[in-house]
Amino acid sequence: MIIVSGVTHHYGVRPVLLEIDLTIEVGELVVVVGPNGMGKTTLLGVLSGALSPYRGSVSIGGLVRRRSIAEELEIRRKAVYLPDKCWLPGQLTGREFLLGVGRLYDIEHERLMDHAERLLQLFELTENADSPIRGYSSGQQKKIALCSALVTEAPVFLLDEPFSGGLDPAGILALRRVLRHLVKSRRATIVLTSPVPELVEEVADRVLLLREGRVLAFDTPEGLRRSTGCHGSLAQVLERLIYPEMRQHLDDYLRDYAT
Amino acid sequence: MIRRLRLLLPHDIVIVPLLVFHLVTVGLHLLLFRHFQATEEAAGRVLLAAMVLATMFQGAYRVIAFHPFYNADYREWLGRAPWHWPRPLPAGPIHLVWEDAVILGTFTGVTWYEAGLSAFVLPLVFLGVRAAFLMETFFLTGQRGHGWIIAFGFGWLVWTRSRSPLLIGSTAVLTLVAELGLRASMRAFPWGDCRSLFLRTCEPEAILSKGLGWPYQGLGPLDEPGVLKGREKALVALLAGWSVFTMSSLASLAEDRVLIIQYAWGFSGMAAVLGRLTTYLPGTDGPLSLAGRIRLGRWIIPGYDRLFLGPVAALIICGAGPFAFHRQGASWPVAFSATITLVVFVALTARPSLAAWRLTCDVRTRPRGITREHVRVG
Repeated sequence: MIIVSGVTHHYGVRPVLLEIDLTIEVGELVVVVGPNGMGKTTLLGVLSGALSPYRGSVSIGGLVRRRSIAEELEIRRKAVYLPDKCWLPGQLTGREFLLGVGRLYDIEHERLMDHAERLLQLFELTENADSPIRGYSSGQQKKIALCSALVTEAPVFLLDEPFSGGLDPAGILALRRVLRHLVKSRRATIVLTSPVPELVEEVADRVLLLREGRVLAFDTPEGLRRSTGCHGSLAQVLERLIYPEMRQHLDDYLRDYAT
Repeated sequence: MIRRLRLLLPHDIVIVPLLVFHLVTVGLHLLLFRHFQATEEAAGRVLLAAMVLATMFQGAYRVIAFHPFYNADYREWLGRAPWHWPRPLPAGPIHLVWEDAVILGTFTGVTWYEAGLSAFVLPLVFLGVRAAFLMETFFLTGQRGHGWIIAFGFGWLVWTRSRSPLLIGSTAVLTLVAELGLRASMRAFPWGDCRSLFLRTCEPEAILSKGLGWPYQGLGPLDEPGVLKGREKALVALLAGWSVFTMSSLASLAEDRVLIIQYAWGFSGMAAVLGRLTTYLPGTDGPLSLAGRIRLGRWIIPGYDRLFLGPVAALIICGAGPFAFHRQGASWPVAFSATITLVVFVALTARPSLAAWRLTCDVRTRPRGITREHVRVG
């Protein structure tokens, strides 16, 4: 379980997160959506321990982030974080990289070798598995980064925009199914961000909407539909919740210039 | 015998330039002596310097060329071979053998004949340099006790340099410690993950995480134990003060000695501050920008600013220490050396520890250790 209590965070003067309180259950896939600059990445940064919040605390599996060295290390073993922008060791081959990450997370060697091979197959990287990562295309680099998070077999995944960065449709499909399967069969807890609601509608157990650093809504897709009275797609529901001004602006624009 | 001697001497690629260098120095020696009416003593110094350098080189070569620690390929091959101590090492002996005496005897004979140097000097130089290179291996192959004795022993050799019997006896003891350490080290071969020896840690995870990029390097589940354990921090601090105290005794005038110590004292203060900050700051930022602190009135962020307590304490001790010790009756060399010890000790032990800083303090963790080898994704 992930518990976020009263988290407020500033980079400079402007608060990016304001008094965020959340509870994410074990075996739940939560998608954080919201306009750009509304604090999605910052929230994930706070959850991952990359950012120390100005106020408030985060606990994962009953352990409080940054309270003690032992607790923090234990959390890091349990929760893997993949930021939207990562740096991969270009000189290592994809396979070496996956094996290295797996060893870091204490995965048993035989299982790790097999898991890495399966992931490489799944994301169509087998042909490049033994080539240096620097030679990969940007989509392949994104795929190997995703594989590195999956190979850890961590019970908690914190993924910042996993579907962006040049991932092809096959990769998106594979990732969505793998994440859904992890939640269902292994009761993994997954928090991911996405600016594109269509990509995550099928997989989300609950959707967290952030606006101006505050929680605007945190509910299941069905719950959001009920509360907004909109029975369309998740994108349409979010349009009502997050982008009411944009809707008005769009109507005005279409009326004045596109007719 | 010739074959054994050839084995223990550097390759011709090294020997030939050294011989040329020697001939040039001998020529210079003769030139100075005959044509410029240089005193025999002055001319002899040129040759002496050349021979001391050659002896130092041979002392280092005897360890570097034959010790598996210094040669990764040899070490890995030996680790897979059915070799164990005390079988002879395939590449040649690291321990002292009689051929060393022949080589050193030749060096000593030449120097004694041409420059009138005492017969003890070059063997002491050879043994000292050899012990220094063995010392490095001891710290990384598990014989740290032997390493520390040798490290402190060097200062003692400098301190006793004008008392020949004591100097010779001390060098003999140091050589014995080096030999015992070498035996213990080779008995413990193989020393675990060979690559880890050079990364100063035996945790394979530590090695991997160093090259895994962001976020694994910085946010991975990796404890970052310091290189030094608790007691060893005190030993490093003592060694710093002791080394400055003994090395400064090389100055011929008392004023010069105090001046040298003062330089070392100033350097230790700067090193304490810079060393601490350059170790702790990479890969971390404050939770708030400076502008944010000012505008929000959060002048002090305890969870972050505690980083600066150690360096500030080291600076205060550095400034006040010599005068406090001197007031207690210590001579200036002792007062400055003791202060250096304290400053280094504070720099090494002040809270938070590096692990506590990275894992528990109020920091913003950002990518660190990113090199040109890393590729950015996203």
